[in-house]
Amino acid sequence: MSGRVKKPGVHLAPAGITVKELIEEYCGGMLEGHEFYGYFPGGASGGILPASLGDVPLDFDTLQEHGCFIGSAAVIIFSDQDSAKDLAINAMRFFEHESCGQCTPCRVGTGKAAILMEQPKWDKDLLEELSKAMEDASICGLGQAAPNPIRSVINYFPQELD
Amino acid sequence: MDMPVEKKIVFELNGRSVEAIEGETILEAADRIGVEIPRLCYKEGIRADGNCRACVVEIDGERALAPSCCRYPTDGMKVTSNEGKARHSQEMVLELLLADMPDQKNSPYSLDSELDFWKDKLGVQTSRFPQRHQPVEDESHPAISVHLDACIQCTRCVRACREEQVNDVIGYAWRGTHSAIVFDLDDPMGTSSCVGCGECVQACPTGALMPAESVGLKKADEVVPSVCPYCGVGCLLNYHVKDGKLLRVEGRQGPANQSRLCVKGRYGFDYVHHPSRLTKPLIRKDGVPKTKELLNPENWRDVFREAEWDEALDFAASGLKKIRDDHGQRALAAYGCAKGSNEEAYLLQKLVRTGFGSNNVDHCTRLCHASSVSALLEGIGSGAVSNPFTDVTDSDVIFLIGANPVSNHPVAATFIKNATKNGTKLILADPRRSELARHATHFLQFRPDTDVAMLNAMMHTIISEGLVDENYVSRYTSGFEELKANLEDYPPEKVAPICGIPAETLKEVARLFAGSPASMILWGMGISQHIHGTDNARCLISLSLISGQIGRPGTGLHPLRGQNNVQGASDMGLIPMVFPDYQSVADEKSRKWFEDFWGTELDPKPGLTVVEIMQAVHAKEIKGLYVEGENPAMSDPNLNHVREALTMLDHLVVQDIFLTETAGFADVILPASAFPEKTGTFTNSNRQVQLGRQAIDPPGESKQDWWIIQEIARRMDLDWNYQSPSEVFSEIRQATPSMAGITWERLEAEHSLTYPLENEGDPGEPVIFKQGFPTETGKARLVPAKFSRADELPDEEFPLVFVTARQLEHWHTGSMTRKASVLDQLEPEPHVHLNPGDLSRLGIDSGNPVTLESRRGSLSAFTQEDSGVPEGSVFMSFAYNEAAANLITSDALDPFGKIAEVKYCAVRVTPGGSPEMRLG
Ligand code: SF4
Ligand code: SF4
Ligand code: SF4
Ligand code: FES
Repeated sequence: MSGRVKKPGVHLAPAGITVKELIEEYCGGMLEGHEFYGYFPGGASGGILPASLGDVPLDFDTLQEHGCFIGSAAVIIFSDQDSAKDLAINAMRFFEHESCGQCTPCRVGTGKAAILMEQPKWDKDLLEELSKAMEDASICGLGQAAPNPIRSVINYFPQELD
Repeated sequence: MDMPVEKKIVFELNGRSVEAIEGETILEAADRIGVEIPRLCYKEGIRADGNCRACVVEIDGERALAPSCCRYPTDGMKVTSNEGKARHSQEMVLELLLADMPDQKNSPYSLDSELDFWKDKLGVQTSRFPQRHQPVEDESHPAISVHLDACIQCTRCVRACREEQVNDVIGYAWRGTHSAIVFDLDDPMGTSSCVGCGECVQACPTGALMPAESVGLKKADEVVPSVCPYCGVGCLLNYHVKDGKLLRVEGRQGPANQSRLCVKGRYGFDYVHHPSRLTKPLIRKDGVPKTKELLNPENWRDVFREAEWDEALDFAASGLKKIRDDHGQRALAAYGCAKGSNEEAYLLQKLVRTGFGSNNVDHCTRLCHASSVSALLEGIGSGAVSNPFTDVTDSDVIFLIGANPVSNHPVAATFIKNATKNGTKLILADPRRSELARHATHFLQFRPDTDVAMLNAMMHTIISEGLVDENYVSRYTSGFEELKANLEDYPPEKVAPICGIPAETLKEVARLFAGSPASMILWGMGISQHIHGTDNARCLISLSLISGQIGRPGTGLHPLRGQNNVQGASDMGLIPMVFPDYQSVADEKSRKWFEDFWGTELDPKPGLTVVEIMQAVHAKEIKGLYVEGENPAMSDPNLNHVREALTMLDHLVVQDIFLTETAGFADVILPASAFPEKTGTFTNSNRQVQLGRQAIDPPGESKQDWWIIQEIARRMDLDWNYQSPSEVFSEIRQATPSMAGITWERLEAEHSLTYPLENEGDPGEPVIFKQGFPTETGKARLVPAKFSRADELPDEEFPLVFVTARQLEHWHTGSMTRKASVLDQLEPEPHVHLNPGDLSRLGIDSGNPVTLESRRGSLSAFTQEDSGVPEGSVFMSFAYNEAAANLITSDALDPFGKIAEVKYCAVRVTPGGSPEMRLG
């Protein structure tokens, strides 16, 4: 658990627990003055979910329908003082940096996506076209999952894009 | 025997049922049936890497798309390549890559960028993505421009450099969007360890790596398939011609090169357009004396005057005729040329035998593999290789001795490196540590001149440890007992201190060689160019025979032939002892046959060899010489002696494309045609007869060599009337049984055919001696060899050993390569290579000049520190007239092959001096 919680760190919790239970029962609640706004359920590539989906059980196969996955179960909590869009850009820059550079959709795709995401106004269609190719045609999971933050922002945080 | 049944796989592609051959990828199957799938990182002949993802296809039941270039179909698989997810990703990949091209448009560096081709095909006209921060260009290499702003990171260049050519220069550095093509540790290409083979340029789909000076952007008027003019590898290539000039060269699919080339073949072609090409016949002015000094070609007018062809030919032929009539037939001799075609070689030897009336005809094979050939003829009845060098990829063990193929047979070396990467063990034995040592499992840096001792010790081990292939020996060899008796004197423990290789290592490599399923021996001039060169080769032949390592794919004997057509010139009888196809001139039956065939009486006495001809000039026995293409004033040992001989001739006719060092001594010079200006057949080291086609016209009034030879012949009363090289070839077929089945038409269609090919339609035999040998008994002869020393050993006065060697960029006497602008830029100066220890003992810094002196001559050149050179030795190439290595060398001869010992003589090195003025 990391992010805007009182007790970040490694916690042992049963599979199927929700993020809200994690924050309250394991992490001592949100930091003072921060309101739970959204979370990365599984590291940088597992996608981003809004607080409204804070009651979804966290387990293998429970997040697919929401376009996310539990992955490494490295859960990141963010608050009303954060921007999901900024966090998504940060994640994309991270992928751009971490990409091994082997295949086009990932090597070029992550870099181009990050630049497009930094634009004041997102070209959602183009980003979706790109996301599709990265997901379908990248060699490994890094590139295949790299569009998750883009899609999460478009799906769950549309208010930040207007 | 039943043929293995080729398994077919039936799958569905875009709704259509397709049969794939086992081992074929989806992409290959699609190509075969004409379904186009875009691809960028895939290139035939290079390992598919699957990185660009332009070729992705959808496979029913799979979440992600699959790269069709490295995915194999299975029965019942349903594949979609032309719509939906697959097409979307293909287009997106192209659009992403297009974003990073300069101007996001067609590549500005290539007329046939593959990215442009596919983006047009798929209708991706522009990119909606922002462009990357572009890298700067790198123009540091004389032959190659690097414009990575058009790089699509497909890594074809990396695979070409590392996996095909195994030069390991190009790397793919860093990560993510920072990923970049680098040379060595991100050095400029021109200062990296790049050897300029240009394979990366040939592999690059966008022109990011392109030939320098934008020649890739000029459209050729014509592309002419031909052959490389340099070494015995015999790479096939294409000449791109524009406005009657060679624009560039690219590798072409051939059995010996698989589209690869080296720096000479790819970038060493513009010598043909050099301003100093001879374009008009020249006749020596009356009263200008011949001196030992070399003529500076710029001052040719001081010595020669221009003449019309008729006058020059009359003058050339009448001079020869007069000597023949006044002093007898044996007073004339000719040097032919291993760079010329088979047709030219055939005509020249025929002229000498039927027109001059003797067998005094030889060529540079004498300086190259004559001793190997004499040992091979004596031992196994044939002077040619048993297997092509490309067979090394089927070998388990390669034993390579006395050769530096990375410099001298660069493309052959790539196959050796490919094999070692695949697990083949390489035993490399050479006094000098060459680049290949890096790939060797065993490197034996033995003392120069101790080959026989070392090889005998290996055979001693094979016998004493019971590793002899008894069955093979009794079936296919004779003389084993004598060999065995001789080998008793060479136990490894006794030989180790002589050759400098520990006894245990000698035993280990002997076991490895004899015990492997397929071991192949390749050798070069380190073996042949000794007074015991024939003995050296005898040992290699015996080694292979007693181990039964011959007569199958991947195992046999391969002397790496030097010149592009030294095999062919020898096959054509351009040597003093034999007619075409190695039929002895002394043999009554062969001679009768040729007397009938040529309709004239022939001299039964074998003629003189290269070095003997010069000695005979000194002895005033030879008075007239016709030199076609050779350059003895540079190439022959003991140059002072040779140049003196050249001044002593009554009549010297030189036929060449440049005013060579030799031509300066001529009475008449006949301007001839360069390789790309002629059509003819050339036979490489693999016994592959290949068709070189004329791409451009000879400059000025220069003429085809075959025409000139014929004109001389006519003027010496021979009734010749050949109309074309193909007509000469038809005659060759009749005189050369092993090539009798090769037709000109088939060569035109197939480019390359391997002899023996006795009957029309035969496939040709790459691997021979499968069932014994072409000797009278069908058995090979094992010939014992005793260890002996070189003619001139170092002593107090001349304490170091001088060895002539090759360098990648220059060929032979440099008459072509030093006039090729790229090669000259890469290696402009003469260097002597010395061990760092010797350099510091002599108190010389690497790069500073030294003077070399032997009992025969001296020269000055720059030093180059080379830790691969053993202490006590000096290595040097003989391409530089300002420091001609053969001034130093000795003309002591091997008694059988009559080859000179240019790999060993005594020399003294002192600091200081400066090279002479460079001529030409
Ligand atoms: S020219 Fe040859 S050696 Fe040089 S980088 Fe290219 S492939 Fe490698
Ligand atoms: S330089 Fe050419 S071959 Fe090499 S990665 Fe770039 S585009 Fe591919
Ligand atoms: S390896 Fe030999 S034949 Fe091939 S390109 Fe180089 S010089 Fe020419
Ligand atoms: S051509 Fe198949 S991935 Fe590049």
